[in-house]
Amino acid sequence: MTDSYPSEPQATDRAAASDPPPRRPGRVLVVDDELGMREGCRRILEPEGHAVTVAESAEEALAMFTPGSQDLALVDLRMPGMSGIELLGRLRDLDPDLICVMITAYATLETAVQATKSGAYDYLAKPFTPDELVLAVNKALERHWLLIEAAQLREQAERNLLLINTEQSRTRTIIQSMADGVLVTNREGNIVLYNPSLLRLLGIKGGVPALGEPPSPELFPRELLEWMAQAWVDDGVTMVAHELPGGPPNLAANIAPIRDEAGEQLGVVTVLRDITELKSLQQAMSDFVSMVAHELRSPLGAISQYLDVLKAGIVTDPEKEKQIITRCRERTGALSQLVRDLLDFSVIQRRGQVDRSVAPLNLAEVITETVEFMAPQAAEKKVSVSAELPDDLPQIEADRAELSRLFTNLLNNAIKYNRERGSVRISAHPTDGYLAVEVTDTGLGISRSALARLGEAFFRVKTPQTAQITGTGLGLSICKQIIAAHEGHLEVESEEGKGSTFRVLLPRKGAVG
Amino acid sequence: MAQGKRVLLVDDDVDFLNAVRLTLESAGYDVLSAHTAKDAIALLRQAPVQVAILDLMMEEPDSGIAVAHFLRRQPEMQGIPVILATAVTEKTGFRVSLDDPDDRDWLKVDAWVDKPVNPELLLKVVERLRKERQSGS
Repeated sequence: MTDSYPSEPQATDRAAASDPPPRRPGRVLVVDDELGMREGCRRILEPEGHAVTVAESAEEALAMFTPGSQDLALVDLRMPGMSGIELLGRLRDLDPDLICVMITAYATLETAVQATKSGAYDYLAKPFTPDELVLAVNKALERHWLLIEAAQLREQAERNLLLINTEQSRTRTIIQSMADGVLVTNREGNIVLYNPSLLRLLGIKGGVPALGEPPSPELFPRELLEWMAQAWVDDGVTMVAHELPGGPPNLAANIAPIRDEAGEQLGVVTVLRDITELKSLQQAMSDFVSMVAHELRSPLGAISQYLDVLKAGIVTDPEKEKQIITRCRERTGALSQLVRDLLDFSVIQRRGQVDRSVAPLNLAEVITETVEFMAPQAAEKKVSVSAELPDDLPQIEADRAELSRLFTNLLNNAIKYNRERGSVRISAHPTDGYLAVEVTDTGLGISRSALARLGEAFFRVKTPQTAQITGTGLGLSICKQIIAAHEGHLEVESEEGKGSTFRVLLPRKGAVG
Repeated sequence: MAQGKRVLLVDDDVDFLNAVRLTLESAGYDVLSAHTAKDAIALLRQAPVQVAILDLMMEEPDSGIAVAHFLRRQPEMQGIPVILATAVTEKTGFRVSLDDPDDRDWLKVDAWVDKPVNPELLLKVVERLRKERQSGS
């Protein structure tokens, strides 16, 4: 009983069930116009385990028959209406796997030939003993199982061949379409395969490499050929991503021996990869690190210098001493801010769209909060900050924490680079497809040449007025990244000595209201 | 302040400048300070100095080297001793040896000090160069 299995039947049980035992029961259709024959067959075959269905005419049999519903048909040759021979033909048309045994009244050579010709596997002459019936049925069923099994095997083999064919052409297509260059040489060192990317990466335009010949030194960089030879000699040392000297720039070669199942070396596969992108990333990283080092060095140098001065007892005036300590404190504060900015910078860069918690946002709320947060700093510098936010400001889809950081940085700059008793105005209004937020200050202004570099990491506007103002040169860079992540734009207008306006445009797409 | 004890100090960091200025002033020097090479050259045109202390790497192209070379091109300033203040990392990246007289000649400097500058050492070097200059001229 399959119901008794808690979940699925175990694989071994399944295998055993499909393995045909010699006396495997079958489904037998008995077609005979004589009731006695039909019932006699049923009474003999059912105790043997077979499932017996009966029909009293060919027409009835056809009406109830569906392909796959029976394993064996036991058909009387002579019946009123459609004959047994015709029924047999029709049944086998419907189900070629069905095996048939004819029941004939007289065991003559003629009837035997006739039955076999019509596709019957065997015949049984009336009258027959129960044993003869059981024997004939079992023999026919065995044949039936065998035929089915053979058909299954054949089908499986065909499917395998089909798979192999597709696999080969698929592999070929993949290799041909790869962006990496592939070159395969055999144990004689002759080329057996290469792809178009190999030619492209090596800049081979004229003569193409000949299959069955060694790669020619005219077409291939000398170092590459040496490495391939080395991979063979070294008994299978895989060379990973060596940058190829001598050849076209920014190519890395990955060379590996090909081995068969027994471990014998059959050839060498070389993969060439364009690492331009990787190298420019490395360069960018190295530039960034040296910029960070530079930014750390200046404040550390200044602090150390002050400490040396204090230690040497050069300064005797307590007021001056206090000034020095205050400046040291300010510079360490700036260093801490630099570390915070660096962390923000890396987090925002690393963040994918997925990590961003973008939700409908009330911008006026975020701006009001930011203005309140910046109030103490503004008061210290005696700068007045005002916000102009219409009540019906549409919501936008944005990350709240990031926008809060964006406006904090912009307001921080507007206050920091302002004149004493200056003012900062932050306003928001909808424009074509965007929501514009403007931060206007009455500060130092930015020269045209400095405007072009604004937002570059670590770039700071250097003028005698800004020399005392501490900053990391990352604030606007972070702003730009946040704006870019929201698919917005930053516009800056500035006049030296008068002030600047930073305009952030955030798209209203997908916005509600 | 005695004209014989005037020093030019050039560095782009306002606090470093202030700290070194305090050091030099404590020894009785009159200090002219500038953040950029441009400002430094403008100051040099106005008032003669006895010693120049320059930061090696300021914002390009206003490097300390530019000031040193400017000094060497002016007949009346050629003899002003130049001290270069450098951070250790700068020296290794610079690929010149400041111990090598030829390199020092190329750099147009007479002495160098490491940043952060040891106040006592700086004063010694400044004093030595100033005296050499006096006895030489």
